[in-house]
Amino acid sequence: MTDGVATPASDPVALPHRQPPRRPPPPQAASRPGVARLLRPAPTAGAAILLLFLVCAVAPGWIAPYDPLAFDYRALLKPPGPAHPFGTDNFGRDLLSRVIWAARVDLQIAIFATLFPMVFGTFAGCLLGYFGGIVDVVFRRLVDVIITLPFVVLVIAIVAVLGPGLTNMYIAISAVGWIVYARLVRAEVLTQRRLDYVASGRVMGYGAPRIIFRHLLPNVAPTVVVYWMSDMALAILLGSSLGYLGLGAQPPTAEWGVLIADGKNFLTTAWWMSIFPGVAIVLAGIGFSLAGDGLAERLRRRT
Amino acid sequence: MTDPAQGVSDPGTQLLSLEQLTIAFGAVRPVDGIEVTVAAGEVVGLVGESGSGKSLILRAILGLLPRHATASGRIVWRGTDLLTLSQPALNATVRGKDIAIVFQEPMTALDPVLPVGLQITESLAVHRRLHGRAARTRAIELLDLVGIPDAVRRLDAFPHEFSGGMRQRAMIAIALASGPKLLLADEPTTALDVTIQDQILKLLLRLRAELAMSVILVTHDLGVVAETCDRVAVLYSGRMMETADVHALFRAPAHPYTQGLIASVPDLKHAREPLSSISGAPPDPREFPPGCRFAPRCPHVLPACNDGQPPSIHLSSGHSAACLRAHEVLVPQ
Repeated sequence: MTDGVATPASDPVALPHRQPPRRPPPPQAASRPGVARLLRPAPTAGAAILLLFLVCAVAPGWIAPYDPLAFDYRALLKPPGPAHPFGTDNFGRDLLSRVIWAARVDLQIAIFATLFPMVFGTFAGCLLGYFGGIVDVVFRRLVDVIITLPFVVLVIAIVAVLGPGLTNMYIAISAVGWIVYARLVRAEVLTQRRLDYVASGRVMGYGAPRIIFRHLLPNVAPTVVVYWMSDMALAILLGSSLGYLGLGAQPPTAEWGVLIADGKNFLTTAWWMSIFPGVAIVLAGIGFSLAGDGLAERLRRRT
Repeated sequence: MTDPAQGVSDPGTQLLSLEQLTIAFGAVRPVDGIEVTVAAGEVVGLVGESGSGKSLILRAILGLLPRHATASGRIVWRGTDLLTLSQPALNATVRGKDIAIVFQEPMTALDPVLPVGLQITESLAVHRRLHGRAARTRAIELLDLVGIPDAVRRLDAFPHEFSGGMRQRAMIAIALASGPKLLLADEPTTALDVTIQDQILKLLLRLRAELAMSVILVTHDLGVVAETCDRVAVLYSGRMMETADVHALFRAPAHPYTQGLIASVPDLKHAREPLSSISGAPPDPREFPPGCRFAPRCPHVLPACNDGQPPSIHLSSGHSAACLRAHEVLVPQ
């Protein structure tokens, strides 16, 4: 990732010859499939990024060159160099190691902050969509109320009451986050249940649990999984935002948001302290989005 | 059941009778006073254009009406009024056991994410307590029965790997899995092209004979009726216009609407001539005419037609028409 700049810095064709020999069609025609070919590896790139972070998260000790918490007073605020590729912070901690260790915390956030909302929200959405009735009416009113408040504000409010820390952050995000899944699944079930295969199930004499979980759920699942992927990216953003604000992961734990916050006072003198964790967040977000898109397309092709 | 294998109607073994079946959405009654009986082994056609209430009737039989619809009258299945049964009671008695249904759209009627074989074995597991290998064997038999070639391999295919006709065959196989005594077919061939249509209809007739089933066939296609049905009920705007056995209906239609329908069937002998059609459009269900619902479009209309619903006039055994002038209109052709 060192020389990311593309090679055609100068355009040899445009400079010397003015007369156009009328040959634009071949390069045009060649570039079209080229673009298409470029698009297709996107999911692969996404998966590769995720895999990279996953390896970091599973075995940071093997990859990270230094102890992420070890101070080194001989190397304070060192810019990126051979010894410290991402530089060091104001305590001389190696930033590359801290960013790698932070992947563990942030992927944990991505999963723990979304797993309960996804499972419970999907379950609730299935029941609400299939049965409707008074509970559904109450749910819709609840959604209306909650949606008027920005998600982050709500989560911050809950964390503020419970106290900062990762566990409380999970609780706060789960308490609010399931509603999005429930809404999504409810809407999907509402459209799916009108299809004849549901009516077929009913006239086959199947009970509601069988129709909901055997037939409707697998049909709704692709939508949920695709949304889940982007939700994990959002969870990382939210988790690092809260970390930045001091409500999520607590220092000295390495977490991307915490790292950015650590670096904010040194932004003019030691830009690398905030930039590299920031790039990690962006990359993770891109990875989840690309992989999610690829997954969506693949699932769509099946039906 | 007395020898229904020949597919001959026998009034002694009546399976299902609809008695004054009325379906209402508030004050709107898209189905009004339907009387139809189905005997063992009989194919009964319900004919009518879109909005005549045919599909609603089928849904009412299986208790699938929308929540805000109310049904009155009686739907008597072998002595039990299905309208009095709760949803769980329907599940425990007729649904998926005695009565099965084939829908119009084979594209949406199969669960898109489950292999076809699984959808058959599911029914076998629920209704027949057949599991594992036995269920699989039976599923293969069923696919064979409905004429799906290479059934062993097809069992694990997904619905989207099937063509339209194949899906409809698969739907029929699923419907047959529980061994129903009555098959409801809701325009089963409308979404298919003509050659496939013919195959599916022949299949239904063959299965009717082999499995001793009765069939209610809902269609708007008189050609389909002529080819398959024993008896026919012609519906218009939710009311019965005429009921007769299929020969009487085509030979001596006694209701102006039936005559109009028959006259508007395209005919190869008169190719390139303008098609004859019934002028006007069916009435809005919210503002039905006070008397005969066909009166505004009827070429034989009398002032009395608007005074009230015309009584059903008995013409011959099994043939009656709801028209004041049935005797005049009836012209043997």
